[in-house]
Amino acid sequence: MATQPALQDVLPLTPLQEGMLFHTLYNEDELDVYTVQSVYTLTKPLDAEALRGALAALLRRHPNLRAGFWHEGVARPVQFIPRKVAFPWREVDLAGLDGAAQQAEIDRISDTERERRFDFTRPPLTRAVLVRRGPDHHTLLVTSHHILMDGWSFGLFSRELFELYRAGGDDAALPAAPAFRDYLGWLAAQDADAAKAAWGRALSGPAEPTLVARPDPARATVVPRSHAELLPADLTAAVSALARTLGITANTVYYTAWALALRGLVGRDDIVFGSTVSGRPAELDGIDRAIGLFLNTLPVRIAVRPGETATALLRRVHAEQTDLLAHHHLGLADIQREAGAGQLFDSLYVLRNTPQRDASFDALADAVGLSDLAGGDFTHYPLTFVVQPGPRAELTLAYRPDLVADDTARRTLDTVRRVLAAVCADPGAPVGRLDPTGPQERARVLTAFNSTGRAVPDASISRLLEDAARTWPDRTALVFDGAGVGFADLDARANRLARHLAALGIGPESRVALGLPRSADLVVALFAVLKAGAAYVPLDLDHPADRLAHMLDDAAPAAVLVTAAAAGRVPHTAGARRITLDDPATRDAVAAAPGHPLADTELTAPPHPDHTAYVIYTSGSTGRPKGVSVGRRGLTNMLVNHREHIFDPVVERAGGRVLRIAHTVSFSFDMSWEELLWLVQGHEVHLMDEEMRRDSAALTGYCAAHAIDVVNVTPSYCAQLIEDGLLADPGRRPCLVLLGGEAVTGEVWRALADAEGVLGYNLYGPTEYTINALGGGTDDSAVPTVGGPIANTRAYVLDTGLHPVPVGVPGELYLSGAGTARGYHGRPGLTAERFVADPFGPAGGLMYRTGDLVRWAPDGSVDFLGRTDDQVKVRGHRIEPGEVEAELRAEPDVAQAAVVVREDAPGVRRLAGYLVARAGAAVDTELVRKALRARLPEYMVPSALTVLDALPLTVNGKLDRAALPAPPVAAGEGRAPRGAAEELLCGVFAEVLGVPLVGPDDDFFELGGHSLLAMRVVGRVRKALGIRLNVGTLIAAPTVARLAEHVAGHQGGAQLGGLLPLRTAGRAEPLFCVHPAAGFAWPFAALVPYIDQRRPVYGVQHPGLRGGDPAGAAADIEELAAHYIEQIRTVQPEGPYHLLGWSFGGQVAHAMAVLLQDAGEDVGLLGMLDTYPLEALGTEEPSAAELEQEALRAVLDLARAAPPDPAAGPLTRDRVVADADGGLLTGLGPDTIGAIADTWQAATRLMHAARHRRFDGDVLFFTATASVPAADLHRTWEPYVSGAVRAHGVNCRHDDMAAPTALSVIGPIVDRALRARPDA
Amino acid sequence: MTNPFDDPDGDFLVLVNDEGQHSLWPEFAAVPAGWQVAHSSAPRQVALDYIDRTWTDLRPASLRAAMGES
Repeated sequence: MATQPALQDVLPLTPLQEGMLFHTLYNEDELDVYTVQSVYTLTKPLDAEALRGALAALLRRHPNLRAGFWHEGVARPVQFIPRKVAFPWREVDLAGLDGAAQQAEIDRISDTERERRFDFTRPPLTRAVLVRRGPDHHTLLVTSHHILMDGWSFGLFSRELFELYRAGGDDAALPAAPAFRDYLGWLAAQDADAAKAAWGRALSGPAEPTLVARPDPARATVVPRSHAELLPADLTAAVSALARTLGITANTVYYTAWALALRGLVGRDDIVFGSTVSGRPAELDGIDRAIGLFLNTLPVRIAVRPGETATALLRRVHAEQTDLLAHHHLGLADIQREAGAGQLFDSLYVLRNTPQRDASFDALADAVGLSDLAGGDFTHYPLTFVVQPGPRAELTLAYRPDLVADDTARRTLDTVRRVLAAVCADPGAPVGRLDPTGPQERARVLTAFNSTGRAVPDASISRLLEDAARTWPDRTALVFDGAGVGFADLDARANRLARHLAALGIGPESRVALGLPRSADLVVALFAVLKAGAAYVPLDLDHPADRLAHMLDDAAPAAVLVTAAAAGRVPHTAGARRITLDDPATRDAVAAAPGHPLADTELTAPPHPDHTAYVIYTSGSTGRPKGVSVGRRGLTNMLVNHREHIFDPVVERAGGRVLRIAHTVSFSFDMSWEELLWLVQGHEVHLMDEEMRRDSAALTGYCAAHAIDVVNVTPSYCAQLIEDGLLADPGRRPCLVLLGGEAVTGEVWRALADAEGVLGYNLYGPTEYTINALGGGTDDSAVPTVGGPIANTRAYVLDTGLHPVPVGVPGELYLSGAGTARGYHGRPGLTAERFVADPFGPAGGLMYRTGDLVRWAPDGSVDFLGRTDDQVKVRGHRIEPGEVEAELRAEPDVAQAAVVVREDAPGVRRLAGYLVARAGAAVDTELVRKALRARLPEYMVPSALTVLDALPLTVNGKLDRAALPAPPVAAGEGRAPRGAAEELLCGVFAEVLGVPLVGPDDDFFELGGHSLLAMRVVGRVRKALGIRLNVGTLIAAPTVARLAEHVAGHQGGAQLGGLLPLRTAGRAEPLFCVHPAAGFAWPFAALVPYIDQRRPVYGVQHPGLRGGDPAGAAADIEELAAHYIEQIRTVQPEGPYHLLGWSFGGQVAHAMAVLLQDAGEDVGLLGMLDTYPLEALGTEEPSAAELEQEALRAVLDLARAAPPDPAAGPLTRDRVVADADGGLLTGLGPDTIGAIADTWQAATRLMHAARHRRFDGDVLFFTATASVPAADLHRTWEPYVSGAVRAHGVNCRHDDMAAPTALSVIGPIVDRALRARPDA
Repeated sequence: MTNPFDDPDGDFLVLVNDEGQHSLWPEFAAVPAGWQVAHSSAPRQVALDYIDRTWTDLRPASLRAAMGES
């Protein structure tokens, strides 16, 4: 030992130091962007020794510049200050080179220095290179880690460096430096709880992350690029004037403008970005002269309300930020934990506020010959916006070119300037009027992407059917149930029925409900209603009568068409004439009507393209379905679009023949029009009956047998059809698969794209926009797309201020054009809030707001991102959870209800309902489900109903959907850990996260893990498994299962034999857990979370696992115990010792305790998990053959393999070793498993031969009540114990005593016993 | 993202076009061409109640005219 300790101090880190340490350790092989460099050019004669002396003096003056950093094996990282370190110094002489060569070499040295990473454990984290370029020309490169100094400090560093140099390196030349240590003391004294509470409030609501780029932990670091511009002097002055008027700082105006620009970039109103604060507390003397990393990065949250004026927004932001001033000392990791949303931001706002290069510095520079000073530091954020105040404020936007496109960065900087100008020009205007998009981009998204104008004939769709009948009278139009109907026949039948309806006074603007089963007659009736000028209302006969009755009441049809067979399923409704089509009298009357097309004059009113064609009911959020009233114009428009984009190309590819179309879609969906449009175009439509359309195998068979060319289905059904072989036979696959109704998965899209000769075509359109609004095919895009707007359709992607957003920015989709529906039948208010004034199309036009969250792709197609409301899609059905919730609340025992879609298993979306019972009532979910089935269609009945005590609410009192629990899953889904690595890692995760149990598939970060905790995990894993992980590995593999896979790919595996460090941190005496007969101790990892944080925990393992002969390890149990005592003394030289043993380990622990007492040591705790002195029980030692069989059975049990079949004869080692790759033994390999079997036998022999002496003290005992026949068996220890044997029952088998569930009982009792010791 | 039309705390206009069609409209946004203010700034429900009261025939005016009604 040196006489003077080498370490002067060990100190905590500041919050930002922790963050930088984390970021730098995250990927140890990458460029470290926090390695920063100052380049000084000196052009006077130089005294190199004095300069070197000045650098050394700087390290002497500022202990924190000598800091190294340590994070392994400690609860929180520390910085340690060596008493003395040299400033690394290198001299390079380039005087022999010419100027250009010198510069090139200096650049190379500069790059090398910047790229060479600092080792945090080997201070100092700074170094210098002096390059001699000539007698009076030198360049000094000082490379440092940012963790030592913030930007302000770099300025001080330069000044002090040259003052010390001028003084010849004499420390006395400068006043004593303020101590960084004092600042750390101040920091520690701050009220962290109050700060946490304040940040929790500021970010409640909750703040959702504002991310410019997709988070990707595996991302490499790159050097950012930047755009900069000087604000005009008058605008700079206007900003300052506005700030003065409002009594706020100009800084507030700048970062609010930044927030508004970010809003335009990410398409959200609730914005969070990072902001650096100086972190120098004014109450510390001389703090502005201190060198160190005081800076902190804090989230700034600005929730923009489009209706708020800029003035009000600025005042509010100022007030919100002022409230947080006192809490700026809290670290970002702690703040993000309070917010509970993980990473909150990935962009940074910086007000550059470094010491100005004043006259005194210039004089100093002149004296020492400093002619140039350059330096740069980067951050790892995708976007950093820097404001440098001045007469003309300088705005700089630094961006990672790999994540942010150059033009996006430029546009964002433009937006900041435009926002500043607009806000200064009219601070009283609502911020919603600020345009986030420049004129060029605006023209692109509004005009270029929407140039969809096409001529559309005046004819209605039913007139076009008449044209088809005239053109191809004998061609088959419709096939149903094996029978074909020709075009002329189909049209004549529709004309006759239409005349019949018209004769009854049914015409334009009256409605006719279709209560008909799928049949040719349904298609005839549908066209007949249109021909009469009326609107059809489809009724799904599978829907509950209640729902149909409501629809009929709401639609108030003039007539309801039924068949005799279906009549019973269609409720009667007042005021509607009921027409039974197959009633003989009706049939005769219809047959008597002429079959030629109706003249306009035969209708009750002249036809008009705005007349309603159909009313289709969709789920309504307020609890009742709403009828969408759709005009005729859109149907003809759709035909025009499809001819150009679908029919002509597909027919041409098929050789110009008539195609066969399978009609599979319910007529209650407007999607059923796809097939009818083919019909009107002259193709042959095969109408599948109700049974066939729902039976994917039968449907696939039909398509193959009848050479169907076109199939129109929802994507989820398509997946099923593909599985049933729709695309299997290249000779018999459809040439077109139309998709609609919900998002298409990548698998379905790829399957269609990869099938030779098949075109997949996706169509999007809410019922409120006639059939489709967007369309795109597999030939347009390799990934699922809905394409761009169809003919005569304009799509707008708007922000919350109703401005178009640029390409790539999320916004809400609005639709305008020929397909816009008339509105909701009989619901003016609802119509006026969804069909709203269109600011971008022809004057006085309407647009429909879809509620879909989308963004433009650069090619003018639309990407879907989700919903802005709660509406969900399940298997193509559009569902408003509010409607289902209303039905649930209508149940007498239900007080509150919530309904969500869950995808707890990948790809399985299901509706889940949550109920709260009325006070004093109990809810029977089965009865509720039954009641729901009577009122709602099947797809709207939740598949899981869960009763809760209360619905989880956000702090704002709204339903916290994310907090709703997953409905209980079938047992066995949350699997137990497999293998030593998983077992250990589960323990490590649980311990580090402070939760009782972690399953192998739980996500570390979702359970509340953050960067600091990640470092702790890494340290623990390195120790326990001997594997060097870095934090990046954990981020990339955040579950135990995935991390274990990673571990398996490395050398090592669980540490076998010897002492297993389960937790090394803490100053309390450790707890040693002794292995059972199998020799390993890693199951005790699950005990660690229950034991006081301050107490280390070690596993004691048998040396036989390391190879060698286990039987030779010890002649008797005391020899083994003595060997273990040697081992535990290496980590705990003296007592009191705490021992716990399971099974054989309990006996060893007893022997150790006796030996320790022999040696005069104190034994604090002797704990036993279900073990008994065999000598007291009089058990005989089994024969060698029996022992081998028992060992092999034990191995199988540990491996959780099926119990051996006794009929199969004795077990053989080879078989067992091969079968034992499971449970705790997963992945250990045959050699280790063999060693376990041998160790088991050696241990069992020692156990039988053991002669126990008397331990002086009490025993804490745990009985495995599922294995032990007598409740007082633990008393067999009494002869060998002077004190009491206190037993606790654990309801499990002997072999499961160290399983996580058993340890969850045992752990707290052991911990209490340890805490209860007087010296604890 | 709360749609401006769904903001329960927002102030709304009611706009009407030549077809007699009504539109809820957030007060902060500029009134589009071809629309007039039929009901000045009011809480959302007030505006919707006004629409429910006033807009009793959802057919466009030109359609009503074509059907021989006024």
